[in-house]
Amino acid sequence: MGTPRGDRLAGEAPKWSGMLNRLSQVLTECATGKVSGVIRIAGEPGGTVHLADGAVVAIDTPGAPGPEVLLLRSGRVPEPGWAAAFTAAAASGEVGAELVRRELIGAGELEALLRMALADAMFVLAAGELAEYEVDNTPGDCVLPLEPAIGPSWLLAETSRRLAVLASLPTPVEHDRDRWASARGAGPAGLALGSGQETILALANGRRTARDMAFALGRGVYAVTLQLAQMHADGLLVPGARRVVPAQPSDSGHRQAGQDKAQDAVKSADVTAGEQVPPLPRRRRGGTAQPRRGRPAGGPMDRAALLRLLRPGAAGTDEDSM
Amino acid sequence: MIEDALLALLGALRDRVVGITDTALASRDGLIITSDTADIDPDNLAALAAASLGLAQRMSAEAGKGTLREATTRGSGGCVAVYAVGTSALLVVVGDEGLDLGRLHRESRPTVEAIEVVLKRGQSGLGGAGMAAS
Repeated sequence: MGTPRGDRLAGEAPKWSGMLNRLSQVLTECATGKVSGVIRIAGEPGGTVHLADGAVVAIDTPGAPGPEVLLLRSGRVPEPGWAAAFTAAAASGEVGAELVRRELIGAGELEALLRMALADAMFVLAAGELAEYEVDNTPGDCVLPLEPAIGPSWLLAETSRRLAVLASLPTPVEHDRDRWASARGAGPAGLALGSGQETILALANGRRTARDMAFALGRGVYAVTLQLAQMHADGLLVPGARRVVPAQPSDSGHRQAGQDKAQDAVKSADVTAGEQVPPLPRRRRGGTAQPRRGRPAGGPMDRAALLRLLRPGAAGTDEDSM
Repeated sequence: MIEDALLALLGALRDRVVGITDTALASRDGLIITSDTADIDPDNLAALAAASLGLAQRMSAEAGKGTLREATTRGSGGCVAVYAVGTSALLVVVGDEGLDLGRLHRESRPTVEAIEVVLKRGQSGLGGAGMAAS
């Protein structure tokens, strides 16, 4: 899949190289300085790189599932087992060792998973945007540090390789922008057995990006992105609404830009004279709540119990407003 | 029109902050105004959000912690945050494990303010009609 490594138009820098170069610079400086602490990256998705003596120990980012999500969501480690190990390791802080001791996962497998999570996190950082960063020499909290920690060169090389592979796909997929829906007629019949395509189709509701599906499945973002690209090429998936994210000059600039589209909608909602505007729904004492949009009443909640809970004087609002 | 504006604001928030999976706007007494949800029942979500916001406000007052900023519920699979919108409405935001709550709390502020503006405009249009009816 994709073009051979290093195959690129002469003299043309890939578009991701700017971000990767910046990351490379920061990580190399920290490695030289043997920094023990964190690099806080503000951006999209942004994140925190944990360092010990200049080597990378862990990366937390909203852009990729961390080791805990990878273990739990995939079902590799059951929730009660994790909770017990986490509690038992409270004093020592060594959750990984406790998981291995309880035979919930092998030491080798855990190390491989932690490396994979690191590579995935570095990939989403490098594919994203950086507004600013700061280096803090105070070590941060890290639930599952990779031991021994790894120097940045392998991480950066692997990240560069992954970005090149994705850029060379015939139908490129942006892991944090493109949302996916199942194509009409994409049913179980045409799917490859054991490939996980059914679970992806079940998640493809037009709202989820590759990143979102990775979190839901407990898999890596890069791996899910490749699979989505293939399923799209095979006609199993169609793109939904793209995620619109403002550029990252600064935080205040970011908020400003993000509001523009919404402000237009707000302006267009100006109430003209005589237009009937439905009032905010109000609960009438003794009345029953009307389900909105014809949804079936009830469902798993006991609606009557909820209404009792919300009556003034129960546990509800302090005062009747307006 | 109002609903379009509200849905646009909810959609923009979900775009802006990675990890948000669903959002909803409800009245303070637990009835849904509009929602941007997938598999979550908006009516149940609205009722529970109103209850939890009310409880959280009383808790904050009881513990002497000032004005409530948000009511947050964390689970193993993600979180739910509820924000008051003025005195008559509330915003619910549901997110997965990757949602950065600190960032959400910052990013939701402008959305809450914008929603308030839209709702107020809607209600000022209502004033005449309501008085005429009674």
